[in-house]
Amino acid sequence: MNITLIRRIVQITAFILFIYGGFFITVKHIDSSIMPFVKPPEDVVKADNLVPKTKYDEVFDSYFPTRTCRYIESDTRLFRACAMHFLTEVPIYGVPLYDFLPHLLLFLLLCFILARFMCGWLCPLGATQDFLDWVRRRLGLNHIKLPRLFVKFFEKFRYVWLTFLFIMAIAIVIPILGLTLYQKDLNLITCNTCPGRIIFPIITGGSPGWYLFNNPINIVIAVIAMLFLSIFLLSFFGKRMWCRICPTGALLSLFNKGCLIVKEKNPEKCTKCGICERVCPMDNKKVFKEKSKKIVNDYNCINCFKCVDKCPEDDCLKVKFLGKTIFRSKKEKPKDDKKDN
Amino acid sequence: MSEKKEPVFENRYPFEAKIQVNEEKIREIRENYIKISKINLEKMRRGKNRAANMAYFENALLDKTERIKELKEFKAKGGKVIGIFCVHVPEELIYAAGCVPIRMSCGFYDTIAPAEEILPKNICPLIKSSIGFNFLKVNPLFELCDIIIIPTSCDGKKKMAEILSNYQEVWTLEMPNDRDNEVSREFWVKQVRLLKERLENLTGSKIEKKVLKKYILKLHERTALVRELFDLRVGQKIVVDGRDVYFVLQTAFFDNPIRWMEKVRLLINELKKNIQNNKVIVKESTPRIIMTGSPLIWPNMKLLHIIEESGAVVVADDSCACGQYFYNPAELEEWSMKSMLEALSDKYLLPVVCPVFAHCDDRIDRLLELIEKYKADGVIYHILRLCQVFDFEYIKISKLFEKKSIPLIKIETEYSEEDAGQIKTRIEAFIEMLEARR
Repeated sequence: MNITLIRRIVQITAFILFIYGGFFITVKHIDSSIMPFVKPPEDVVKADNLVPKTKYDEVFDSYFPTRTCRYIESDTRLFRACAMHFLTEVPIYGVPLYDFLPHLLLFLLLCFILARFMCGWLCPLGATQDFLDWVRRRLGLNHIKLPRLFVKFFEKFRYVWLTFLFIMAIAIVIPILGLTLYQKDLNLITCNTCPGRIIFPIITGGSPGWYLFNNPINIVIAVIAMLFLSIFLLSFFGKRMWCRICPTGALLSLFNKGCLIVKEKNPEKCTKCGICERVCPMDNKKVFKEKSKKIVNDYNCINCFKCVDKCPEDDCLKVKFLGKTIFRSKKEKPKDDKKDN
Repeated sequence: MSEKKEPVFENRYPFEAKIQVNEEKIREIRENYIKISKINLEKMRRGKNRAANMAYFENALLDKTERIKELKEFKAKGGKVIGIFCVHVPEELIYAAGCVPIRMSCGFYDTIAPAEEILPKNICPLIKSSIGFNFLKVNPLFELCDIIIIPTSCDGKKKMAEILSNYQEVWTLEMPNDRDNEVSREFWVKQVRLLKERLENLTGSKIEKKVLKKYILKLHERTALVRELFDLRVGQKIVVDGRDVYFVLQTAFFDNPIRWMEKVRLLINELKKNIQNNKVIVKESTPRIIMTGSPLIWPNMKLLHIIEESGAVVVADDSCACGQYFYNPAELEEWSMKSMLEALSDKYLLPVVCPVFAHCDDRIDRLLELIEKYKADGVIYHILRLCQVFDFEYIKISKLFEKKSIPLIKIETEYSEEDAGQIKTRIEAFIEMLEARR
């Protein structure tokens, strides 16, 4: 059983769990779709519809770092929201430390253990993009290789965007900046521009909550969202387009080099055949180019381990978890009998 | 169909490239080739416990009539036979176009002297021999070739293309010399695409995705088989010697690949049984040698004979005529024409350890890996006289091996048997040294 097959099974399972997992649990989320993730102190939130209707102490009322969207029909979702939702929402409601710290610690723990492993194996948006890629392949269309220039640009842009999101999350609660008036519009730019916010409600039978064009801020956000959605849909032609600018991915990328999942390369066994680079959905060159260092974890890697799967040399590439090899590259064995001509 | 999108090399000043040798001499050379082949085979048969399945390959080499008949029938049906040099020509494309590639490199001494009439003195014997071998039609398969494809690897190959173009249509495949940058790789993909177009023009039909996929998978199987064969030499029990492996791989130069694969599969099965039954050809303490450097091409088995008759065994090599020939696979995950061409061009450029590329670090990595994997005791660096590229790289490799204290010996030789005695003395001393080191 090769790695990619295992990954597909995990991806499909994770997709079903995260998107439709709510059907399997007995206690339902009954909060409204614009409910904040953590319980807000009542004196901060004035609007009626933001008042929580349920207590947030169920196990599944936690969050998961990658896209487990809040805007999915509340019946079907397993987790409350994704990490970006959580992190950008905490400041606006002034959530007390004891309320959000457990969630933050869980997030950091998962980051240190898995980092972007979650992108390649668990993220439902990633799985959707892989599905689009699969459809294209079945249709026999060529994939478009993203020019190096764009790859480099996206690599930088995602951190600019991530920083902007965090700055805005904090800026809207500081009265001196005068943004408090627009709190309702500027709240959760992450979610308002996320393709998952449109895709997930559709596949769970809800409405994507269309954008309001009633003021300039909303228009700008809607335009950015449309842009991001089209980048996401371009994954049909390129591979994993959205993953290149995903803010959650950018955040998880920071943990990629120190996490417990380690990708190791034996430079002497490497014949530099370029296969690892060619099959990489993120157009990563690190595994291919590295000839002196042993560890080839890269910030941009989504840990799909396609390179390990396709590497034709025995033990050239290895995936280790806590020092234990979980995957290793194997050369193909000849089939025993083959009688077609 | 005859209209070509891209003009191929047109020799505007052709000269009559005829070698002044009479028929009798040619016949003599042909007979000599068979004789030398037989002597070689005789020497190889001497060892005990040699696999019985080697017989097929011996017959295939000595008696090519069946293969010629097969190819003639193939040509009568409109198929084309294509002569290729080096390991950089994408064979999958040729098969998919409905053509058959034949590798034409040669290591025959007798054809050198006649070839010197139309060649400069100071070039490597492989070029001289290949040209002579083909011009003098010692190789009967040469007459069947419609086109010759020559990658512009080393200088000798480049100019050989020009000389051969007096005789026959020659296509060159322009190879980048520095493969580490993106531009060269893109350039090479374009070259492969161009080759595809040329082949399509030649046959008048498009290369179809399905057919190309079929052949990629088929040759992938060949790679897997060859790797399996090489892996049999990893263990302490040696059941096949270096000469035999070289020989088997080189029968694939011209043999029908499907039949060849079947026979190699049989050979592998037999060798596996031999390992189980402890039918070894040499005792376990025999020094294990890695061959590197210029390719040893049939019937130039002189050096291998000397090594293996002096009580050592060649366990691996990184030569383009054996260890590298089918070693690299074309792995890909989607089967669109674009990605297939990319995978093919990568396969024939990036992992190939040819010294024509700008630096040899990848080749050193490969050698170190071979030494570790095959538990080799020493390395023999073979240089064909006037093969500059290998000579250049020797210096870097020797310095590194000195630091790592890996025994290395450089043997500079030609195709002639004259220096056999001298080489024998040196190799024997080297092997003694290896035995003493253990």
